[in-house]
Amino acid sequence: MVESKKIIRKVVSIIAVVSMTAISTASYADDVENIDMDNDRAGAVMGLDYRDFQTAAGDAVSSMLLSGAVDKRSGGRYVLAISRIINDTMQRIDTDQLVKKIRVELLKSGKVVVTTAINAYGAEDYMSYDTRQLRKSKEFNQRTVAKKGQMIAPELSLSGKIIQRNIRMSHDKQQVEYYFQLTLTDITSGLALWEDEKVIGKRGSNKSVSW
Amino acid sequence: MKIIRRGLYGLLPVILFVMMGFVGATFDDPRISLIDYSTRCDIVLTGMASEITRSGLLEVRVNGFNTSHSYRRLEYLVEWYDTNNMKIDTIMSQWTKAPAFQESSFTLQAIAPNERACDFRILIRKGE
Repeated sequence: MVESKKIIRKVVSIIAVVSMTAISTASYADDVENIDMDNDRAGAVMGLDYRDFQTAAGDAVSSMLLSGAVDKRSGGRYVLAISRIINDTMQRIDTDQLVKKIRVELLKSGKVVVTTAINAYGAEDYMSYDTRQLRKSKEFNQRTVAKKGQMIAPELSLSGKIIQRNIRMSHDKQQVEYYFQLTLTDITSGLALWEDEKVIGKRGSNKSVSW
Repeated sequence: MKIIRRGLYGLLPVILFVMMGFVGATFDDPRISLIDYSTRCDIVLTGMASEITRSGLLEVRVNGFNTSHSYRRLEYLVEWYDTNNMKIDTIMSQWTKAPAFQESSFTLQAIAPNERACDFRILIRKGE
């Protein structure tokens, strides 16, 4: 009787150990890992990944600051509106992946402030207009409602295009070129104060897809 | 054997002179680091210049020389610091590729993200 109890205890403990091992192994089975965003030295992909957008945005801001195009002669900050950034690639890209980084960095530079009251497709943030509908409302203290003629019109406009070109090099190799083209226009004169292009090229197997 | 020894002793001043000349051409700034062993072997930093641009931003240029017989692809990262020695968070602090052609000089250039940046650290490593 005592021996059978011992055997049962042994079996239970073995099952417990085996099941614990199975659970811990299962949690690593997918081999998921967080990307080290500060030092990601993993191989490149044929499509555009976050590193490409970071590079393009960082280079664009550096180039813009080096050119002096965002230095206002009278001092203060330029008001920038975001115009059309066209995605002419085979990938489904939200162009904000590029533009957001640029405008955040320009805002941090202290030389530019971005308006959300107008962009190429209307207002980016409709609340600026919606809250003006409260002018006739008796529920709101009218002194706290935005008055007419308070919005600041943009002085500069940022437009651009992301282009993709696929070139077949051989029966099993291809080259994909991505062009990040950006233009900063002085809205008053219509003149481009700054323009730049960053090319990112990738070469790899034809089996790799770039869309 | 004696002739060989004499020859070596004779060469010693020449070797020392060459080494001193080589060290004299290099440039050492604690703010700039070559973080790879292989890069330290082939790349020599020859100078650094920094200035405040008309827009009030700190601009830095580092000059170097690739002493090897082959092309080296470098990457450099510039970290910016404000007057309180606090690191400034910016997308411009990212690993940037720079070519260093064989037996040729090269220049790394960076501009500060804003006027608060008054100091920097530059890390240089072998590119992918």
